[in-house]
Amino acid sequence: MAKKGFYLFKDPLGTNAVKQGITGSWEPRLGVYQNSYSRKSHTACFNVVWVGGDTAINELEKVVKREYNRDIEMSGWGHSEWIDNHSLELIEAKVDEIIKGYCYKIVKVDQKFLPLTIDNMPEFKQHYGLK
Amino acid sequence: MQTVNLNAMQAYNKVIRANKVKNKPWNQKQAINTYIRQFTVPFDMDENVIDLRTMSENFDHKIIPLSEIHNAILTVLGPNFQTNPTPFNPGEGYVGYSGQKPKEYFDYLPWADDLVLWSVFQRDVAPYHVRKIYNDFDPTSVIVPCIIRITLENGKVVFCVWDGHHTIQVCRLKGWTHFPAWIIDLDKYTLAEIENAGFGDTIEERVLFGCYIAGKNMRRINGLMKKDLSPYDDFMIGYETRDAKIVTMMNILKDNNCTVKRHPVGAGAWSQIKSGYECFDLESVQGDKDGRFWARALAFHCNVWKAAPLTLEVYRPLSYLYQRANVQGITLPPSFDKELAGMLTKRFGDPESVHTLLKVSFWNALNANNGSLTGTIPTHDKERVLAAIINFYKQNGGKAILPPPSCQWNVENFLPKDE
Repeated sequence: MAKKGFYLFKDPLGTNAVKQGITGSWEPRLGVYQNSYSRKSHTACFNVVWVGGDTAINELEKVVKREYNRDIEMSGWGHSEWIDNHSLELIEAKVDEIIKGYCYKIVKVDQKFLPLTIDNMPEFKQHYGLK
Repeated sequence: MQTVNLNAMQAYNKVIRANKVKNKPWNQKQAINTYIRQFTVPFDMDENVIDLRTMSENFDHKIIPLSEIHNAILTVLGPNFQTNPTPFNPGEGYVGYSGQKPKEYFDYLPWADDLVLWSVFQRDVAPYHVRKIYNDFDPTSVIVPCIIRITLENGKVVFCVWDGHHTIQVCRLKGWTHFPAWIIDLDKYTLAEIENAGFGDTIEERVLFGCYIAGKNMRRINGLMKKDLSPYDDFMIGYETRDAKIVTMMNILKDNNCTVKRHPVGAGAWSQIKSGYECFDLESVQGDKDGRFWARALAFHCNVWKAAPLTLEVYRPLSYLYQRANVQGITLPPSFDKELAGMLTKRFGDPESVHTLLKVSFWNALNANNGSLTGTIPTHDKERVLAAIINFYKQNGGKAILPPPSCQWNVENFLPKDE
């Protein structure tokens, strides 16, 4: 059973930057992002999501951050998970490649649940057996 | 090879100026990224290490000017690291003092009664270490010993060695009559310097101050400020200067598309140098230590987890498994590797999960304390993972005969249910 997720989302303000992160607390995490802007401007969402066990997801994040280390412009205070200069599609493909190359027991979330928002969260969690 | 065109110091100053203009706080990662962008071949740099081997690929003949490394160091240390910009040439004293020697100077000292050791600021001597250096002696590798020149209360002048005593003893055994020395002259210290360090205005106090200086320097050089040679640097220097064993190990790594790295980053990256020696040195039933078990374990790892760096806690137990099978006369056919790989990836996935979860299973079984785990309790992770792999393989219907594990338990029953 999956416990945690690895997610990507585009910069809602439109720059060529992508946020990567992991969570097991899905609603609070989206809530934190939604706090920064009105829903009238943007609904906080995860554009691409993978789910898996704790160990595998934690390891995946380490590998992705190492892979893009030089494109993570700054350290600390909310900066260290923003990857610059790569499109969401390119990073998504790289994450898929990493998962395959490492044989991670991680599943890519079906397109029908994406983008994942607070609105379609219940269906998503039920489908993947998440708490 | 390409030569770096931009002046790194200019770029460094640009970052500092930009931060000042915009009133932004300095950010180390941002400064490092800006610095590295000048180079054709990017390289890792942080507080702990600047990867000079990769950095050197940006320079003709792979030779880096020290001034460029200096710039890289300043980039990492940042604007809060204050340096003293006053130009200082320690050799100028010879000229400026009408022939007088400066406070610190180089000289050759004879083997004489005034060449002494004051045990208050020197460690004990180790005869085995003298023998070790003697047997490995090469006059091109003598580091200059350090000495303090002290005028004692009775007016006698002595030269007290505070670093390099073993070296001097070995040089004497080799017949040297004079010894290179970097000398501190205690008599050149002013009273103000001595008093500022908490010592008084007497000859006895001056001598105690000399001991203080020598002792402090001895501890600085040999303890407090000593930077040990990292296993990675040792291995790479050994390889690039043709050490036979290390060249053999490198050939095994290359055969498996593995690369030596300081950190386990990238496909086939190998960073656990000391454990690599351990695996390489595993002895076959014929008494050979030729790295064959390590080579097979690396091949297993790289064939299964193509994008992953080499995981010590997987390839080391596998090396031991192959070695024990060999010693016990068990032949493990290539099909065994394929079969085991399939089982491990199906159940655990990536190599980190393999050893992490196998160890969790071991500890859960042990802590259950209900007789679920029998045999000899392993005291090291390599034995725990090895036993877990053997148990797991057998419990999943593995076809090959394997050496017996040191302890037995049902691996699956003690794995976390949600992993």
